[in-house]
Amino acid sequence: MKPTQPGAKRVKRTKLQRLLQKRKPAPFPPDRFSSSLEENIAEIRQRLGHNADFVTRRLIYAEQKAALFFFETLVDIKLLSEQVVDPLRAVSPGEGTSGVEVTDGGTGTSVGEGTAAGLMEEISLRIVLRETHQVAAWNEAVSQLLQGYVLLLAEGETKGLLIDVKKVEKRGIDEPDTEQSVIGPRESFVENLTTNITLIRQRLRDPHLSVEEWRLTRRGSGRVALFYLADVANPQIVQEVRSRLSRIDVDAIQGQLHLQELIHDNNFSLFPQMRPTERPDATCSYLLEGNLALMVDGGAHALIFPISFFQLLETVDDYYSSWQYATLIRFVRMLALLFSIVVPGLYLSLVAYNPELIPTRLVISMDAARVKVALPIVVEIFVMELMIEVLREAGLKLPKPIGQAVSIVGGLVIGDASVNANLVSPVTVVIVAFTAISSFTAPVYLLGVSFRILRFFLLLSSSMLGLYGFLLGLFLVHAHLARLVSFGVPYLAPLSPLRLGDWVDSIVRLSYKMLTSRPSFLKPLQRVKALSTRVRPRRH
Amino acid sequence: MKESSNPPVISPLQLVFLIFGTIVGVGFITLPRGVMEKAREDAWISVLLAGIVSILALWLSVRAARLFPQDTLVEYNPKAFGRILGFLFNLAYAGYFFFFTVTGVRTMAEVVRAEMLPFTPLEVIILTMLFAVVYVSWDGLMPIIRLKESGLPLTFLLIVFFLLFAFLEADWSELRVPFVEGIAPVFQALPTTIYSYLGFEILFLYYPFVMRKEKALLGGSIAIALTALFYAFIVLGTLVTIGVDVAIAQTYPVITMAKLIEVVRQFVERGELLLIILWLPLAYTTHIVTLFSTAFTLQRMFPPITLRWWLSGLVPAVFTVSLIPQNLIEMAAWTDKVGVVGLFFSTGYPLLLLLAVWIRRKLHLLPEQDRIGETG
Repeated sequence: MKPTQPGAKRVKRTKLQRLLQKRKPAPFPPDRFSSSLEENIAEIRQRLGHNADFVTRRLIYAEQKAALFFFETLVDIKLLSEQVVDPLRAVSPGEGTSGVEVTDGGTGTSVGEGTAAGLMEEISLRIVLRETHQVAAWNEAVSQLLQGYVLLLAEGETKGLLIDVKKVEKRGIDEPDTEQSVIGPRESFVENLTTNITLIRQRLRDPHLSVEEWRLTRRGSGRVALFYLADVANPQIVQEVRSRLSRIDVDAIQGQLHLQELIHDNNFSLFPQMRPTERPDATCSYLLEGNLALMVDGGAHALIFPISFFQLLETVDDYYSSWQYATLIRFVRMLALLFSIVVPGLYLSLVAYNPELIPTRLVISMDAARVKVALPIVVEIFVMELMIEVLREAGLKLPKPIGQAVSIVGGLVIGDASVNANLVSPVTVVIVAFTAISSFTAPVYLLGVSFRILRFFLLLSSSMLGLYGFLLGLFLVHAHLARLVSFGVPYLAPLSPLRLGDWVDSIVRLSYKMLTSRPSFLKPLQRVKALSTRVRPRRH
Repeated sequence: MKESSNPPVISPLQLVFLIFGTIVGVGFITLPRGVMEKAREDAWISVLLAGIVSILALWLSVRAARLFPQDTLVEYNPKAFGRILGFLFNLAYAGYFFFFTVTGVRTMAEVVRAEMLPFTPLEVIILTMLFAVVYVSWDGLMPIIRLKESGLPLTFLLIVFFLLFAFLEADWSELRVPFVEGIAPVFQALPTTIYSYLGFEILFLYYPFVMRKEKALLGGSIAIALTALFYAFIVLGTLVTIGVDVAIAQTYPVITMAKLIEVVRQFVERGELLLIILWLPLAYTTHIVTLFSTAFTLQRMFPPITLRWWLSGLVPAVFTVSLIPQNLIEMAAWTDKVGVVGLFFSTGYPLLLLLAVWIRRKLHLLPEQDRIGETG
């Protein structure tokens, strides 16, 4: 794009930020804790007291008045009582009253800053299994309370202690929904980032695996994790994604697509420039290739990038079946996807402009069927395409059992009836249905969607200029793919830049024995991922 | 990592595709006619010979471009020829590519209208093609190269595969022992044939971006050799299928040849349309390079105006000028004139450049050392 643009944008954004900062009234003026517990309680009630699930509990610790604050919906009550309240209570009656252990206990109210830190320090030592840290400012305390921490304040202390007793509502690890595999593992990501990081770490127990955590949003959790192998992934790409992440300034991030649209290269492209996957095993194998991955808290997919077009055509099952079959089925898939965008446009341009390119016998039978159809071929095919899209959409919106029934019945009845009523010709029905099914072979859902849109584009161009328009449409699609770049990696790799060495994994899939190097278009720091292990059976 | 802000980097393999894709374009469907008019049955020898001559010209061009490894032609023309003459040379170079585009686009549009879209006005065909050309050129050179690299091999193989069927209809008695009528006709055919090899002059523009410069000559030679083989294959095919006398009378001899392919006609009524479908991508890739080179040269001459402005400005210009010729014959005359200029840029110009630099060095106006800062 224009070299001046990004700079200009940045200037604008900082202006906006300044404006926001200016406009933001200091909402709660005194940001520091007071040393009086009662004042602190009043303050926090004013800040959070309007929430029904906000709880304040008073207690006595070592003869000192103290209070616990938390959201009962965000903390695990059992954890709280076992890990926090019990250790606190264990101290109070015995040692606290004697004043032996807690040296500041007697001087109580008059202790200064230093000793206050000492008290919190001591409490945090008692709470062994949970993460704790001290806090002195209201804003930080409040934001941590909303993350599921418990705040402990004591009389005479200007510092509080935050204890992590998060309650995590999550579903169990399920089978993958869209990326199924016959004999592969059956784990998929869940909506909880911590669980997902665990899933990846369990598979890649490598000290070089970096998991950078980012908090990107003003509201909401906004946790985003960036995964890469520090000794494999290209540092330039890592740097680039960091700079793009750091420029994000939004209220909240709703799932991985939101993040993807915020950081991918071309905003107008129909093609996905990052690959979502719900499988930890696929994520790990991409990381091992030199790709990077991003995960959003609340999204059940990892985003793999930089990605090339042919990496989008890989499925996990390619790597859990014999390589011959995997290669065959990969070609079938490529062919099906090609058909799904090419066939309707080609059919339209041939029938409407150049019927002499259809085999003679076929054209005779096709014409016999088309003779009774009143609609022009352009309208006919557009109507059918539209109908398919409507059926698909309706099938998605209805509850599962009804949806299936509607789409089957709708497809059969409408298809058959419209042929019988001479609204459309049977060949058109075949073509439209076939292309619709073909587009479902896309391994990435969004790729199938973009192919559906491109199909309409090619239909339009060939309806206007026949075969020439059809070819021009294809040129434009090809040109668009040639222009696309995902984080510095050409989208058409390994077709361009042409590296036959990369074909063994990206275009075909050869035996694992031969997959010894990482794709060169990702520019990994280490090219070799395995030594060629030719095990020859010994002959006697 | 915005790509367009970085200078392009062309690998040796990409150079092969860039040059091959530029050379082989609109012209090859008319090629056999021009050669056969002069050399008759020895046309295929002329074609091969012209290929060798072109490789020599390429060697000369690389030799000249190597004098200024960091500069494009636009920058070193003023250094070598002085400001005024250099500017004129630059203008001529841009004009050459401009008219190369004009003739190419018009010829393509004529073929498309004749064979595919008889009722569509030329204007629409030209304008839509130019739109597609500008679209891919928008981000600079690298997408163009990637387009060629990923598309050309398949297209080329399919064309060769398709035309191989023509050899099934071959009548080998049309061939004669070479040089029966002496060597003269073969050489007389050379100038017209060399026009078909034009396109490697783009090296003057893109040489500084070539990654391994010592391989530039090799890459270019492979591209030209590949073209020569392809042309000889086509000319030979035309020769043995439709014969010299028919071929000379045809506007597009290669299309006529494709019409004869019996194997295809069993399935499809008009097999030659398949050839045109495969020929269009080649035409497209040539238009891209010539139009982009025009814009690129102009942008380098007048840096304040960006490449995109030049590209968008060139569209109406090319469109208007390409509609000026009244008919195909006038168009052919234009093509010949462009060919003459191209011939100058591929042979005369590098010689002049070498000479100018030599003189300037003698006058101590240019530093003495050869290949300043060339990277291995």
